[in-house]
Amino acid sequence: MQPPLTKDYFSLFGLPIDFHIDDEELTARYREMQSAVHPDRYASAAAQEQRISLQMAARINEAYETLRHPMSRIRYMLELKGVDPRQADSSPDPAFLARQIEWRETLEEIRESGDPGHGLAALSEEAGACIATLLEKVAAELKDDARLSSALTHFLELQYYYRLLEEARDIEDMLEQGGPGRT
Amino acid sequence: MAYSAKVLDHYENPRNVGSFDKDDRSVGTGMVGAPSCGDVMKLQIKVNEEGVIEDAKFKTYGCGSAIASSSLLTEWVKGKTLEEATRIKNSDIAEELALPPVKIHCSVLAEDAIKAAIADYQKKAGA
Repeated sequence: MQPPLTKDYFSLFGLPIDFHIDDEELTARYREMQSAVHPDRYASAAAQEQRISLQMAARINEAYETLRHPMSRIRYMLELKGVDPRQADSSPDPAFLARQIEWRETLEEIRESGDPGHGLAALSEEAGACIATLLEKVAAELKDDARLSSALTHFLELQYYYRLLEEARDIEDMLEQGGPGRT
Repeated sequence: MAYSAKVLDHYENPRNVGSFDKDDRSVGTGMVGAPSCGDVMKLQIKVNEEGVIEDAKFKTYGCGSAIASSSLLTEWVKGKTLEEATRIKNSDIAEELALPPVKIHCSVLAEDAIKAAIADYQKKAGA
């Protein structure tokens, strides 16, 4: 058994390096590989083989978790291209931030009004649509080394949208549970 | 993670929450964001003819440390000249609030916000 520890996560699963992956295919490959290297299979094997199977199982898990979620997948793809998103500390442009702040203000008003009818669904839908658009942009930009900086910018913008959506969902949950006034 | 007493105080009773009219010539607006967590912060200053910050307001959508950092900063800049306000360092904020290392970026965000607000005001004044 050769430990493919040096392969990238996509190749590990026999997938092309592409943002668009078939979730079912990824999960199927993951389960196959996971059962092939399962430490139980190596219970009576030599210590060296046992160690390798453990390492491989850990790497397969890590790869699967990374590729499963769109944002960690993009982050990983940027890292493969030598771009470290954590090094990017620049703020997005003021118009983008102003829009984000407006949205957060609207969410705050919805929370205070206690009435999700105040456009919560519309806001979540709009944020979801922006996320879908940005994901498509990033997918295309990641294929073109000349557009990596745009990919990074859009990746960073996506973090704000996901945060916004998370906030909207929290408010939705809170309101479904009976609003802020009741416990 | 446990917040310090000062962070909790600002978080539970934030000072100077609100907005000024961003088109007012005496107002400088700084908007910044932390891409790693999606926190956003708006900090505004109202400057008089002597170049002294008369009032400051903020709106921060983020964690307790980000709210506390911007709340504290609005208290500090009031009555300061623009030049004095630019000298406030994120480390001063972090020290005052006893921020743990993982929350230092919240104080950096606040420093960036006041710098952006001052730059916005100066750009408008020069225009």
